[in-house]
Amino acid sequence: MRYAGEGRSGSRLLGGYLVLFFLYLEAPIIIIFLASFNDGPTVRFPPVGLSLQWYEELLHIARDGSGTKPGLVKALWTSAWLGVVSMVGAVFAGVLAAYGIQRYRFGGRAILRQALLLPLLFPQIVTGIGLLLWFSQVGSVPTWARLLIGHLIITLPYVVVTVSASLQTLDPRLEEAAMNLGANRIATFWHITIPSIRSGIVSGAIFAWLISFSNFTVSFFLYSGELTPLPTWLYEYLQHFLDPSIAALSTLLIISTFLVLAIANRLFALGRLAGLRK
Amino acid sequence: MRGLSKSFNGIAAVSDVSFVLGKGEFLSLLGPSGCGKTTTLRMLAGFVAPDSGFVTLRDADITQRPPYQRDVGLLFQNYALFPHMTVSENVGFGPRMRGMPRSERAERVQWALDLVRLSGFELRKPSELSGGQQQRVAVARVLAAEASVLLLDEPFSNLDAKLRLHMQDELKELQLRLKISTIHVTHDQEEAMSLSDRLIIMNAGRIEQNARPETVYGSPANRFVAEFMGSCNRLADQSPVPRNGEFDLGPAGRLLLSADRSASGVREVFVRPEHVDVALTGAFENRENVLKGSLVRSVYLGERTRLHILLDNGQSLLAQCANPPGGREEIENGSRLDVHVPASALFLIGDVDYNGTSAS
Repeated sequence: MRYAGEGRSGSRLLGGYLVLFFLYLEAPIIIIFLASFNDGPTVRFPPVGLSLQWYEELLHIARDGSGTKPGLVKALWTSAWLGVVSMVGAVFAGVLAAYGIQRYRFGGRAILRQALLLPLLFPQIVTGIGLLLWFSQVGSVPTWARLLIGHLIITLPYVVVTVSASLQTLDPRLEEAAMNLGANRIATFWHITIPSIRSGIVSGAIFAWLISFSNFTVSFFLYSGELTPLPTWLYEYLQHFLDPSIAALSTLLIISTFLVLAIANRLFALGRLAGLRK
Repeated sequence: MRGLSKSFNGIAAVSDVSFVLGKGEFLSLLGPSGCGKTTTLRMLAGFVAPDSGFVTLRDADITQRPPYQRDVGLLFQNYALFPHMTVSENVGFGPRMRGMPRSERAERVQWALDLVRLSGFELRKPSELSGGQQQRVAVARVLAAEASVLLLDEPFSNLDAKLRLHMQDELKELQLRLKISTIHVTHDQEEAMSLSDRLIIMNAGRIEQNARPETVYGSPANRFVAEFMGSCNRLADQSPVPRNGEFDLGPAGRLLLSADRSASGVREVFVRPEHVDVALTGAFENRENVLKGSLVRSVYLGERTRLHILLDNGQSLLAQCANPPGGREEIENGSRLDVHVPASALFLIGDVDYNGTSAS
């Protein structure tokens, strides 16, 4: 908003700054997107020629499960279920943890909160190495369990943070009112608390899924040949081939992520925090 | 309830508070903020566990019952309507939690919404209603839950002045019609007096007086009540009381108590601003209890004028006079005045006696 007496030059400057800022922010995505239409056999930017051949190549890779470039569909599938299961687990544990920390006063509460958020601050490589050492001590833990435990650790903090933020805007008197009207604790939690923090839960869930789906560092220490999440599969692929089909795959992933976010936003109105609804 | 006490971090918020609520009675807990009235209410609703004492409801001890098994309805100051539910879902929440079948529930909701004249708003969300309508929904919700005691936690303080009076009337009318026993917490004396059958004045976690509004205002039990309810001029504080019942106020004059009222133990003498007569010097000749002073300033308040008077002995005194139709003649600041304080208008308050005066 411009106040009286202020010129237009200021807002032009601001506009220019914003354009540059977003260009910088989105540059990697834009480059990948354009590079996926390369006509040549290598990833080039700016792209040489224009073709959809690498999208075709991608289809071949996907169809040909055991050829020279195996495992794409399985990796995609692995990442998908890993993301979903991590999300469900992180939401379940995260909502309860956030509620306990936010609503009850008990000894060690501050420490518990920090401990839950620690994986956010730790370098993921430390988490990965630590887990690897631990699993090798424990012995025969199946790969799926290793991956799931690792992903739960890194996704849980996101749910705790978003749900805590929602809980802070929730008036405790709403819960008191429900109890006053005869709802016991469980009924109150189900009918009042959960719907009131819905936006926090949904955004925490989306975060959890995205974090798990795109995680490389932790997975790298825990995956095995028969169970490879997509980011580690991409990494292995890149070690052998460097063709634009990777850019094509990345572009598809980016677009599908956008779609998921747009749909979730439509369904759950994420922009509006609980209680701030007008 | 009997001997209810609660302290937080070693600081007593409520100590040894006892009172009885009669069936269909409207009782107000009145006091300055921090006096323990809200904590008392929260103990009644079960949100705060008392350190000692009992809460009984129709001979059943409910002290240890959780809030959802109490049969006590609370109207919240901010209404606490559930924002994600419609009006009828809000109102139907209590019956639903108590397991009322769906068809009966719908009737109940309709009944409650009719009471507060909000039929037709069933499908609105609370955010789509005005402040007064939100309060009506809150009232309907608490009534639909059919609690046998209604608790009101400063329910009118979020409304503007006009609407507040209107909602007070409406709520009082409903309370009388449905004969619900009600405990109302407020710091607004006028609100408390206009609504209540009985007032309990609280201060620093204790009950100062428990009586009908007329009694609390007309014969306060102690200095705190006298000064809290309305405004009050403290004219004398003499111990021991002069034998002849005559207080000497130095150059301002004397105050004579009527013979039967100069009882032993009287220490402090108060008068309310609206009970004194003020006139220019000389108007009250040959009357007793006339004090001399001069006008510091006068404040015009519409239906009355408030006069700030400095008595000749250095004490300040407030007087209030009703304004006659056509307005009153202006008195200049500094004018010499006589203040007539009728002996019958004096309150006599004994040595500090905080506990004996309030029967429960």
